[in-house]
Amino acid sequence: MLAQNDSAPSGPAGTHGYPGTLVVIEGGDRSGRSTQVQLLVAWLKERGTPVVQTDWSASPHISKAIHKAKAEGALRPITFSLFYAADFADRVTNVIVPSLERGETVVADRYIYTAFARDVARGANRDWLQTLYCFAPKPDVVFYLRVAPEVTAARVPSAPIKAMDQYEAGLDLGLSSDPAKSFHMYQQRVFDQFERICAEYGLVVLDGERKVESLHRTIRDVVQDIVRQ
Amino acid sequence: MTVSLWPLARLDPADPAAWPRHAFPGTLIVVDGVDGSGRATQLDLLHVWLQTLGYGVVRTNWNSSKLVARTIRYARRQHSLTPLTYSILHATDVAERQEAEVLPALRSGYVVLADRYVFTAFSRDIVRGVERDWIYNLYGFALRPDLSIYLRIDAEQSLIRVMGIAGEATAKEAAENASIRGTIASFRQFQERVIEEYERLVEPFSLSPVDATAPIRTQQLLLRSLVVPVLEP
Repeated sequence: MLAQNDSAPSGPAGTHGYPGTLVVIEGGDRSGRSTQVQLLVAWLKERGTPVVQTDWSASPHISKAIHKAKAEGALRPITFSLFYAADFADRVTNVIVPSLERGETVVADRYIYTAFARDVARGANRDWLQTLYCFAPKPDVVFYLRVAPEVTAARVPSAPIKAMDQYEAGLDLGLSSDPAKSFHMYQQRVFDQFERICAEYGLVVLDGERKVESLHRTIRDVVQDIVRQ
Repeated sequence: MTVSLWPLARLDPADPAAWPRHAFPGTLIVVDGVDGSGRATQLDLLHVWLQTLGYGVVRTNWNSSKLVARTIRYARRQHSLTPLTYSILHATDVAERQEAEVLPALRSGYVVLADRYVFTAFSRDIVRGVERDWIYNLYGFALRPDLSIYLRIDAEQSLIRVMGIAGEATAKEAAENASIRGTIASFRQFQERVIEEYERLVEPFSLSPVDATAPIRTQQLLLRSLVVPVLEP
């Protein structure tokens, strides 16, 4: 029942073995990722491609508990990591695989690479994570919106960091007692992990500082060639 | 620099016997076994006995972390989670209790009594079709117990006890868990397979089997004789 996909670097299109297409857009917090996902999904719908969008930590069963735990500040690192894996497993088995089996195009806002980057930045063992997530179907293409950590920091709304997601700032890690400093240190760590992941898994790296429309056109051009007719 | 929040040494699926020991002053004692094996009874007795000896005791029960238990209970009503998702959710429960309850207690020198542990997950989830190496890896974060007692009982005896005590609820659970709709027959079949898996764990994980059909007092005396050597003086 566990899929046979190993977590080896992304191979040629179709390696997940289902008739559908799996497109992933990755990127750090505030990289413009969700905007690109929305644009891509809208475009696919417009051209008549059956499309399903799936977002990180959005399973109907588990995500509520995750958000509640985050709000309570109750999640410690291993629990945090596994909770997201459970949410992902629920979406893989109930949404992603059934859609791919029906030949639909699945657009995922974040995928296992987010878990790899965040959890390793939080101290998790890489082999442990790779084996944990080996049930994930291998995407046909993974885009990574690269935004330098300094730029990410500048995109942080002027609201006090206290009010923002404390996990996004890595506040639970004890990197620094200063929230702003903690945020920068944590984002830098996640960024460094993504750099490694891009090379290891063959992610398509896009400059996240490009204009929204220009990025969308690039993504569209690649997806157009991949989506099964 | 930050302290690593993850155990540096972990359970290696290829070599469970080499599972590293923890170095905390406390003691982690596990009592595991299928439904109807009398875990709670034996743990209650151990708990009181340890307290009279002057040990601080913390109990931690399977599937009891607030957040995860809530999620699992809710999800179970929906009948929609696959064995894979359940498996990870149970691991999340173990992780949450380890990080929030077990670790602080062990650091402070308490005796932690765990009602069920990773062996429950290994045996049940493998029966449900999850790969052995995968689930051993999943629990790679878990602390190695100082003592793991396995209350051994056969499916027939466990069935008699469970039906006599818990009635339909547990039978229903078994039927759902095993994906075999049915009643007593499916429960017995599920229990038999789970027990087979428990037996496979005895050697690699150094479980101490105790005959769960022996008189309660006999079992308890045996448990105490196993516990004494692992306690901090």
